[in-house]
Amino acid sequence: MTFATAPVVGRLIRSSNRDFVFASQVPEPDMPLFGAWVKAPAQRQQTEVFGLVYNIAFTEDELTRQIAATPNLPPEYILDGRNRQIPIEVSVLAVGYRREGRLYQALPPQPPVTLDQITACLPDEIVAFTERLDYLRLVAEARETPVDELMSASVRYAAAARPPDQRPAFIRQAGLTLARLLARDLTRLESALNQINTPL
Amino acid sequence: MALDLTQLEPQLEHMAHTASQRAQENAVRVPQAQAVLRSLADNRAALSAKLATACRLAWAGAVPTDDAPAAAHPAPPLSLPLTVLAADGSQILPDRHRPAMYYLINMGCIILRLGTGTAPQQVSRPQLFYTEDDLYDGDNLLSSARITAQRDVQEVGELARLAPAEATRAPTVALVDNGLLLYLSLQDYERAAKKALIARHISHLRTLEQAGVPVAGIIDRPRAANVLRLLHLATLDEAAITQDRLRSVGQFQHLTDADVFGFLQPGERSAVFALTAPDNRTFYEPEGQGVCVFYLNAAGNLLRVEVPQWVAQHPPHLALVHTALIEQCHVTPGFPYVLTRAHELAVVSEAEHADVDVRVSVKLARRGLAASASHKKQGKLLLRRTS
Repeated sequence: MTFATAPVVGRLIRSSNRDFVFASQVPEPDMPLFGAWVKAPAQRQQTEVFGLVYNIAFTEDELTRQIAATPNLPPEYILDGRNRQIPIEVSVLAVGYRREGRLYQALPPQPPVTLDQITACLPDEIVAFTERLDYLRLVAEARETPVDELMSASVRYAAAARPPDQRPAFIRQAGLTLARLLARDLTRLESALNQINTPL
Repeated sequence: MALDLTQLEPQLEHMAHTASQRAQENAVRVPQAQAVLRSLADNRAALSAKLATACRLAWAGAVPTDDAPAAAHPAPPLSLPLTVLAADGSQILPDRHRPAMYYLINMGCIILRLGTGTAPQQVSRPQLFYTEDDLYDGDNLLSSARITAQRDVQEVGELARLAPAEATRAPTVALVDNGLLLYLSLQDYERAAKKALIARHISHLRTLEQAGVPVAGIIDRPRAANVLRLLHLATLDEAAITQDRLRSVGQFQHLTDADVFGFLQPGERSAVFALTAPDNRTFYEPEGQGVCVFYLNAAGNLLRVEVPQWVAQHPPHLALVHTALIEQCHVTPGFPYVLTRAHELAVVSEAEHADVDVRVSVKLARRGLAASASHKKQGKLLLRRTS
């Protein structure tokens, strides 16, 4: 499960068919996590683009800056600052799409449109999408992202979305795929294999 | 680009020149006004007679209280625990270009319990208004002024709902980002509604009074001139006082009360003055809720602070408001932190407004009712998406 509560996590602010960025104001406990699965509508709702969160950045917030600069700040203000719905920018790598009920592990034909709502993928959707693991090739080629960590985190989320008895087989299958993709770099492979076995 | 900045440039230059000239003039006139303020204490008897005449002429000025009018009071020491509450509201106004006729008022409220080490409590309460009774007064669609007034009343109502429980645990101060004397620019046909709104507002103020919670309305960058009207009145001969003369501030034209109280040092507040606006005298004062005003130098920024008479006349209440405001303006210099946060909780963004419209359309469509934005609105939305 990527998001325990509200599946709407933000609204798109810019996009290409390779990646997109959305703004989110959900409180800190519900904030999207690195490697989580999200989706965005595209092509007038005919397509849903699936993606992986690869960067989360707090945007500039004058109030936080002002509070941080206040000497002798009482603890109540610090607690309030952490409770605030501070706007964050979340970058997502597109790894596939769903059109007319079929799932494709390829770049989407069109990017999602500005201001569209971004939602967290449901466990069933993650399981269905990761029946195949071709999307890991797209991640491996996305040099602007922390590739190895993103591959591992996405696999961990996909494993967590499955019933416990199916997880070992899935992780084994993901490990084999990673071995093929990282065959020329054993150090990276070892690190990635260690990471996919780390519990969430 | 629709705005030709090149054409605007010489006009901006002239504007800056005019402002500079005005500042030079004010540098002479402000000390004159301050001198009149200082002289008020010496002419109390004569001033009282002039005030009595002016008040008979529906004069919207300010009357000195027991304080010396030119007094400057330093902030009392802060004592913890202290709870500071603030409420702010925002609204979506009815718009015939939207998918349906409705309006929405969203209340944001924060309760900051200083000295407890606990996280502040945040409250956000949206309320939708859509029935014919909500939307119309007779044949007339509710004006934006009416909805704004309703929001202002609800702000104090929210404080009255939440503050009494707080006051049982710690000294509590309640704040709104607005004057306490409702400014209702309503039409003639709205007279009954105006009375009802003020009555509700006064009942909320009374609830706070009964709970022992001093309340204050804060106005940043105030443009009011009630004290200047007093100074103008003081310079008139009693025989020369007419309603016509009282409409202006004479030699102090275009100055503000904030200019007069520029002598206050950071942390200091001015003397308290009672407002003589006709609404205050007609509705508020008979109920013991007359609105008074003082000015406060909050970290270099001059704020106008409106308080009910029961706060102004009770030194511990007044001291609590003063010390709470100074503490609040320490974190967000010049304006209370809790009001900034209450605004953040209340504000309805354009995206949220669009979301409400989408939800309205969907709900109506499920009941077979077609609802969409007007073609004009759709065109504007299209422009926003592509620009």
